[in-house]
Amino acid sequence: MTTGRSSTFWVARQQTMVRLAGLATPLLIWEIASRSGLAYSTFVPPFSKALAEVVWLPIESPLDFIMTGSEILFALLVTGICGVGIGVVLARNEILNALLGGIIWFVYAAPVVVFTTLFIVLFGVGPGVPVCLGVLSGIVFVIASTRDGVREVSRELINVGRVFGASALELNLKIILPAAIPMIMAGLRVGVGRVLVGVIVGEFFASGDGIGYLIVKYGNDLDMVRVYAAVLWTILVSLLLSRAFAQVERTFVSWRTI
Amino acid sequence: MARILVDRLGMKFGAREVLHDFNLDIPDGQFVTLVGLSGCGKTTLLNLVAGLLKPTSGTISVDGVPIKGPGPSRAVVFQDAALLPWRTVLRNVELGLEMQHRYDKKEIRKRALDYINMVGLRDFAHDYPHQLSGGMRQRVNMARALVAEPDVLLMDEPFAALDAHTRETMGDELLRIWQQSRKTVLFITHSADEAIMLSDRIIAMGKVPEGIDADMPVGLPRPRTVDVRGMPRFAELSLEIRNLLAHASA
Repeated sequence: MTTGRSSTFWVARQQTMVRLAGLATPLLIWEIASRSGLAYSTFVPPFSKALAEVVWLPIESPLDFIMTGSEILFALLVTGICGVGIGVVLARNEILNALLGGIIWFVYAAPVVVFTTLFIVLFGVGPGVPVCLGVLSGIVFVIASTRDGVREVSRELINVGRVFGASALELNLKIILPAAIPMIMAGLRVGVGRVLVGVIVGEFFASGDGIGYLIVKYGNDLDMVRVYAAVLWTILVSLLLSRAFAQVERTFVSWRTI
Repeated sequence: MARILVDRLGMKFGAREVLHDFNLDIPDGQFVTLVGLSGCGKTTLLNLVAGLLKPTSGTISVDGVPIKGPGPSRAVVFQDAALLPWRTVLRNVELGLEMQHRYDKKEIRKRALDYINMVGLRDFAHDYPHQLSGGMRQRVNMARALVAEPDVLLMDEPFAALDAHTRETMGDELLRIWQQSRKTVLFITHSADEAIMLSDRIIAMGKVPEGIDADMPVGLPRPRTVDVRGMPRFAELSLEIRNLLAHASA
């Protein structure tokens, strides 16, 4: 047993090392290319400089980080709560589902960025646009998977609730929603990524603040060190979000080990 | 006390008639088994008694009270265990009492644990359904139905998915528990031997929607042990049921 465990440990270790090497090699080439003058350092500054700037960027522009953070949080809350709510309603109401199904498919199919101009006209330049783009990008996935998840709850589990005297509310809260959670989580997982994209893209076009805005602003100034730092931050935020989400998923769906 | 009276029951699914003018009188404490081919309306009848379906015509009453929907007088032991996978054994068994709002949390827990002990799962109270074997899941399924202390126990092929050995063990277990409380039981099975081993009375349902083909008292002594299988009456009934089923399928 001990040897088996330690050998899988070493295999995992090796994999991590290989993965790190895969990540580090291009960065090293980048660094060398930039420092040796092989690449034009105005456009490709050394990676080490960008990395150092990652630390400084939030200190230089704290408001932009606070703005993006709160936009993402707000958009996530709206996406999660409204998405699940609407999904449940659509699953239980055929007419509403038929009525809204078309719109949902429309938004599902369209790259949401195309609505940017519309939102700028509606809300003006400001946090409204990134939040709306974020929500709109993410919510359809949450709605669709919640609706399908609720619909696919087995007849038998619902009968269990009915036989043992569940009220309509109890049936929804104690049987249907928990049974649909794996599907809802799958929708949220996709939704979270989309919300992030929507918010950052919204900031590109229609905001005076935020990490997305910083990327555009420093891009226009040809301040590539700061552009790369902001890009790295976007990736970092994305990684943190998916980590946090995986944690939430583990606590909610721990029973689902098959 | 729980006498089930099925009176001129009719059930249609769209144009398809499953039960027509169906009558059945089950006295309190009787263990009745329905046998019949798939699609003969056994499960429909059971779901009607459970209150999960509404009849097209006629009535079912328990002790003179007409059934209008599911209620605490009847509990179902479901076919595929149908446990809530996100709840532990204990929480699954608590479900019925939880929704009845009759006892406080402490009392619910105590009662649930009593029944978990009764079905021999004391050490598994905090396991999740996927950690259990098929037989253990059916034990939880039984405990969940029993803990609500219904007058009538409705069982739709509860042991069909189990291997032959586990199936017999579960049958013995069911008899042991039933012997203590003598609830009225309506049981469905495809197995002639299981029907004879368990019940007081066997009802063979015929082709849709004709209703009852045969209503047979079992008349074997209780408590039933393996010896029952060697009795002439067992062989006689077994043959009769097999013949009825063969006839119905022809």
